[in-house]
Amino acid sequence: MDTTNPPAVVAVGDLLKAYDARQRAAASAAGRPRKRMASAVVPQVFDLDASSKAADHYAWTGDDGQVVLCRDPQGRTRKVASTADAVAIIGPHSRLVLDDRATAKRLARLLAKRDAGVEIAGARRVLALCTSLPSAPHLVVLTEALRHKMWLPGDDPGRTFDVWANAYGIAGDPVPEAMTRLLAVVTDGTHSPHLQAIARTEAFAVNSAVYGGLSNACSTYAGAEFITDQWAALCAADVRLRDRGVLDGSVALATPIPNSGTQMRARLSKPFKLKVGRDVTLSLDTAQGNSTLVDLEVDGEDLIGVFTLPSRRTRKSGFILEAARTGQPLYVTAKPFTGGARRGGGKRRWASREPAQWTRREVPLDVSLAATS
Amino acid sequence: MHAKTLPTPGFARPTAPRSAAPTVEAAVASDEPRPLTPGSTLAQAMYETWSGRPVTVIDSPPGAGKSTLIGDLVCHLYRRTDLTIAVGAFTREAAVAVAGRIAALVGPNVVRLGIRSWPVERLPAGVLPSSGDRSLDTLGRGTILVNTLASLARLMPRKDVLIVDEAYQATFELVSGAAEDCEQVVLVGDPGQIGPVVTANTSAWDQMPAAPHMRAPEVFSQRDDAMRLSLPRTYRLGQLTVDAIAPLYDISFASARPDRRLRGRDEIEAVTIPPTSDPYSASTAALVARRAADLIGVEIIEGDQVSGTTTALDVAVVVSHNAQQSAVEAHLSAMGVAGVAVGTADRLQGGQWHAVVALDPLVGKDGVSTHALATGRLCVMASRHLTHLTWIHDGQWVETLRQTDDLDVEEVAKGVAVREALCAHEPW
Repeated sequence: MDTTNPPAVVAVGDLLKAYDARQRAAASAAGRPRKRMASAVVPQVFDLDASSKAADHYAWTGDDGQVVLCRDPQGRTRKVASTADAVAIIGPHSRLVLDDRATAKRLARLLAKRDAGVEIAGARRVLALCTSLPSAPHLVVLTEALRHKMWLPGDDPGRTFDVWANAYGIAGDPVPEAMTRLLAVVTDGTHSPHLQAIARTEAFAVNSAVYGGLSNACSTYAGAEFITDQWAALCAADVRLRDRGVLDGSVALATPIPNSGTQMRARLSKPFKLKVGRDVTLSLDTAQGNSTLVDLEVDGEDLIGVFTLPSRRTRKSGFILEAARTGQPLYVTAKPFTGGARRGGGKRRWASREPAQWTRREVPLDVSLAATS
Repeated sequence: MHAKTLPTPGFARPTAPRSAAPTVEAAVASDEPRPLTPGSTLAQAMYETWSGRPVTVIDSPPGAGKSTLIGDLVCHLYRRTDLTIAVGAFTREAAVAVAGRIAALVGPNVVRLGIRSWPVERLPAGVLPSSGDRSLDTLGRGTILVNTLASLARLMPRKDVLIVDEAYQATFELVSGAAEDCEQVVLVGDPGQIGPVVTANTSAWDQMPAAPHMRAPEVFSQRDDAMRLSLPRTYRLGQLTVDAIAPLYDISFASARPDRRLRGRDEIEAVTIPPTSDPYSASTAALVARRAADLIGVEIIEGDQVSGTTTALDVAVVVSHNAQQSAVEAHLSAMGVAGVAVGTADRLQGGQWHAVVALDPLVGKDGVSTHALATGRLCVMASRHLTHLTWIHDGQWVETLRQTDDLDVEEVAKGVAVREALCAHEPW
């Protein structure tokens, strides 16, 4: 076969970069950050009572390179200079808001003591967990949350707090006040069931992470998996982000071929990743309805999807019937899992490194001989 | 031509239509299990389990009879001991298949499928449906409970022994949850296959020698009370294929496959296609679909005898992306070809077909990714065939792998070794 002249195709990664660059350019033209997601990206901490909410902490890196802390925007500041200081602000009973990842790393270094006590090790695990999650209300890294929530003007990747403070024109404000302002940005927006599920599960995962051992690590990990999946579902459903999702295939765009049949045939965007038989969500603006992908056909270079249609017009599903009739494109996403994370039942027996206490049963001779032959 | 005509029937074939037909044997199940072969892995597993060893890990190469071993082990334990038994599988379809196989050995009304939503009319012969009563399903003596690992992790059945099929597909977190109320665990799986799907950022646990996201047997086997066994022969793969995938295994194994071939086809044939940077290229999908169609209606020769002719059900296409699967399915549909199994390596692992067309994950590379370079994916793609493998590549993989500075050198070296072996078989 001919192996020369490969056709020029733009890779998905390059498409995403180009899309992001266009959004950044639009933000630059507007002279201010633009919304990347309609959803809030940080939920309220789940199950934190009113008295605990007062225990929010703000921490950032001062001019001398040390971590600075205050309890509230108007409160007094102090240095976080010891492991005890760091332990006191990381955990399930408060929310810690950090300016950027550099401060998180400084806290991690403070906690990185060998032979640390249980409290220090617990704080270290909570910090490691929360900074690995896409959304962690107990420990918010503002720059990371802002990178999810907004398109930043210019070319800077937005990994430093100062860049965002400049973009919002609050660089001269006291740091705690600027952080409060930016925290409001990332908590603003719709609070879908996905986000609420993230909040609930994160609270459970943070509580598990406080304690060491493989058993607790299992519980924490199960929570992290669930949060990651919920985050992916949230991004796929977000009305501002789904056009980007079409480029990498996490969302598909289906353009119906109008007909009067009982099923909807629609030309599909590429890459198309859903499998035949999969239950899907069809969306238009904020309207959503359920369907099933029942078949895939090919038409030249294009894929045609065949979807079930609602049997009758309802207030919720009417837009699908209308789109099938008019050819109005619809967004298609896999119907998300809506159950909860596995929580396990306390201590896991198999997570212990100690050999189990077991008594040898007597094995019949024929089996013993067969095994040792 | 059906896989069950082979000398070692009953391998998992969860995604192929004919897998859900373990019916005839159920009617002829005898009271006595097959005798233990001295020195066999089954005999050793039986001994360890009966003696009460908490953890037994059984490593298996592809097509070595994992499913047969699980069926026989359950049958021996059920017939000869009073141990209560649960069997966990990774997917619903795999659980149904293993339930059917065990029922065929132990007889009707002993195996209970715990999947509540599984339609009764689609239960394999002899398998009881879920009672709908959690305590009956999970505690009942005299019945063998079969369920998905995810369900078992929620239900936590109280059993003496949990036997896990395809254990390398599951995380330690999942299996330890499923086995929480079980006294013993037997883990059976193929260490060369694709590991569990882990979506979370695992940096918080990466320093742990035994971590929740690791493959279950890797953590369980670290215990002092664990015994590790392995199956020594593959009955599916020919020696050429065994030699090709050997770099992916720490265990040694040989081919015990009968002499078998497709007329006019070698055991492995590498086909070079035009390079493309698009992993979802329609023209690549069309070429793959055409090749699969060409493998239908070919005579199967066993020894010197023609034993049958391939049908669409004997052919599979293994790809690495869902979008590639959709495209190949659509092209086959346009060609009027129905019945060819098309799927990602993740979905088709555990299955086997006489002829397999595999598309190198590095074709249409979109940046070299860990997904494309995963040796588990490569292993699955190169080991689903009973008789013939067509390996489709674009001839650019050497150059592609040369650019992988930041990836695990050892893994890349394995990928190179396997591809060199596969691509050494260009057809006439």
